[in-house]
Amino acid sequence: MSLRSHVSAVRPAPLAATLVALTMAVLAHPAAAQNDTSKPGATSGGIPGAEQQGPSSTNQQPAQSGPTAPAPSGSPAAPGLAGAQQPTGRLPEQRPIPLVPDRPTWNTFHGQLNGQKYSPLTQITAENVGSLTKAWEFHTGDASDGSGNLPTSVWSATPIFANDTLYVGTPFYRVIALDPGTGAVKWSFDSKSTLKALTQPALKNRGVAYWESRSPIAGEPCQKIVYLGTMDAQLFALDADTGKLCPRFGKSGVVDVNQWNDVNNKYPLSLLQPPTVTGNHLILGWAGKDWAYAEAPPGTVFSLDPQTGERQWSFAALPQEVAARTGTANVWTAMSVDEGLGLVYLPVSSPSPNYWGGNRTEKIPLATSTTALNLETGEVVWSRQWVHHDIWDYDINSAPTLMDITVGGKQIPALMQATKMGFLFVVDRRTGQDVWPIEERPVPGGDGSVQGEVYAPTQPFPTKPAPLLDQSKKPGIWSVANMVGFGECTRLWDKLWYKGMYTPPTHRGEGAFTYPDSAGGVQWGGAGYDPKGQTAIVNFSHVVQYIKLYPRQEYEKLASGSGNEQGYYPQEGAPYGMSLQNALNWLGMPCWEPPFGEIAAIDMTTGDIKWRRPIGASQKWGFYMPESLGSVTIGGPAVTAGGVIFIGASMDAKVRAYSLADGRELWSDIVQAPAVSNPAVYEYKGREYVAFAAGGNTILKDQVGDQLVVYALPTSK
Amino acid sequence: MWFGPVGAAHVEAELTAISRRPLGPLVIMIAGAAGVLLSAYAYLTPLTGITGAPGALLVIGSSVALVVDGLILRTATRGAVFWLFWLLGVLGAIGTLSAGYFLHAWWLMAAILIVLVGLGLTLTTRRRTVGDVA
Repeated sequence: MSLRSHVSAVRPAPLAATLVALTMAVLAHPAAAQNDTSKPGATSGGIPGAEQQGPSSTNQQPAQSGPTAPAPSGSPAAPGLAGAQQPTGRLPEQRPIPLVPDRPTWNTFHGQLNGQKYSPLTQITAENVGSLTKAWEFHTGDASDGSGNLPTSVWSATPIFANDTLYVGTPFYRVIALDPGTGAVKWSFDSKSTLKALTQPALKNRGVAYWESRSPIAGEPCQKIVYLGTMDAQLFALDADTGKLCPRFGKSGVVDVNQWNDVNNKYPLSLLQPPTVTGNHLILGWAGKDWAYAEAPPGTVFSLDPQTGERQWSFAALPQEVAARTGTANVWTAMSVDEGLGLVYLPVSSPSPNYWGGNRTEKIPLATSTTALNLETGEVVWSRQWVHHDIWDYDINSAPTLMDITVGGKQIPALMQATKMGFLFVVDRRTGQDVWPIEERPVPGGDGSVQGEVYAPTQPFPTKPAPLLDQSKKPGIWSVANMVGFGECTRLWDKLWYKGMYTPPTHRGEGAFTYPDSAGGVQWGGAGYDPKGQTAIVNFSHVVQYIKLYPRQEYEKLASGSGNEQGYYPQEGAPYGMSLQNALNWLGMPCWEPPFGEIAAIDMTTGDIKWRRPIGASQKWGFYMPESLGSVTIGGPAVTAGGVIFIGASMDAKVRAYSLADGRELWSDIVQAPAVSNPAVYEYKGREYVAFAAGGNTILKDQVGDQLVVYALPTSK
Repeated sequence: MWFGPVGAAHVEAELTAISRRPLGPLVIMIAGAAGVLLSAYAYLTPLTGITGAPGALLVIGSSVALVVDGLILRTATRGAVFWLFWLLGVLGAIGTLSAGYFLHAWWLMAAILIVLVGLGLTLTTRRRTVGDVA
């Protein structure tokens, strides 16, 4: 799977230049996060004021200058602007908090703040998982297939276990507290939020967050709080014991996050991903509608006081100078946290619009990046940009997985960032420097058909682990689909423009062949990690799409609507609308060669793949394709010390257990709809449970669910 | 009397009755009906993997068609109509069997295998009956 067959490697920068760059980064003006208040308009959209900006510089990339990761020499042609916040390289004072919790924990979207999705529980093992049975199930009643007045629901919530309760949020923006052993309802809360697709094209929810006071006051409510965000940007705080609103939080228990939406306020800052709760901080990003507008709300991240909702600091990935004419570069997925190092790691998405960058020709170094912030201040400590001048919607879409690894006998506090491109970037999480070399390599430029666009001459390519997808060549055609389509796939392949990975969008012909594409690679379920065996587990999809840009007038004639995964995208305000299509034949069969989805285990001491196998089965109209073809997946794994990987994620709406050791499928069950989040693994009254929310996602197929299903070993055993 | 002209006619009538009510079509109808029930169960019951799926509707329809096919084979005399519906039955059963495989509807597949057995029996029964009459 060499990537060098179509791009040649660029030699690392000389050490001296690297040291100079590092020194500059360290000496740069302190990061510009604000210690502000919740007053609306105190600072515009959370964007740091000019006095808080670092010094302007040209062509300066943040912390991309590790010894083996030279700063890209080129990138967009126009002069660069200062980053929104210059990395300081200054680590906060360390605290003796272990990366892996010392007791079983599943109280966040990814189970633990480190993003490992790991449970040390061992009651369920690879040997006995085959006898797993349904302990209980619960139907929230909150699902819509879109046939009535409500938009389709997309439920990607990971249930969280805390306070001896299992909490779930629903796509109708309710919270339900359940007995973890029986599924009996303890309480429920209805936000009565508007059920309209104000930003995303479906009613979406990824669950709730939980906070508890380290020094609770007896008799006082809200010493333990559950948080729920809504599509219309309201953040609710509920007493975890009673479900009643916390009166001290915001206005009577609600913070209107949209009060800070004052730049390009085209849509509300939808709070679909639960906040990240760490120490005395509630850190939240938001989701938007980045396919719709060129000028959109700039990507801001807010830290709030968990008890009052007052804003502590904010972060913006876009430099103030460009924020008004672009937007997003937001954090719409989970974050991870190393409380010991005092850093929160943000997976930052691409600026708007998704597929044309003529309005943002300057360098925007924090966009499409992993950015580490000081938890207490919001200062940027380091940042690595994974896609320069992103015009492919390659948002960094999952929380990086934090892991301590031993490479060449040396212990490294590392971070692995999985991506849509199928790359796994592994860096030292203290500094952002490479663990294995990450090389800047030349990539294709444009074909001259897109006005105003500029192209990054190079992009970062990791040398290890090997890319999960073979991007070195155009994927082959699946002969079955081609035959059924009477050569349709061959004709499509011939018509599409392809110059290798990072072929940019075009106006010519049928458009540009994109592989990997924005729906493939690793999605927001992220990578799991077994700290005992130093093994990463990741599921990923092979998807081919094609993109075409249309000048505005032409676009208006063609487009009749928009979505967020495929179809026509207006990119209003840009000179081009665009279309994004999956490469399918007339029957809806993928034109590209299977497998369509896989799961892999990676030895993090060597970066080598231990095993990989197709995951799940594709399903259309009820018909299952052979499991050897695999399935596109959305959602991620949970890994246990019992040697088991639990995962739903596949089209066929099955939840499965695989052997951590060799990837063998050990168990499966049918659930109501694809389980598109991560499972939760918890222990309650001495019994180990595995919980899945089977909610479905229209990206996979039109199947929705409201089922929370929980499995355990039979009690007699 | 039993062996006179009337008796001969009676025997012929009995043999004709056998040819009209052979075992094969009965098997087809019963197994096809089982296919309808199993498909309908899979379509209507939650968590079968194909609940509400168009593919499940398809096999409900094709199983109904097999029942009808058995009914026609039961009443059809030898000739083009018989062979047409026998062939359609085979194609329908193979199609339903294939659909059952891709739907992971294993019990449906078992029922349709019995339909195929019924189709085979239909030929066997008719050959013997027709031969006796001839």
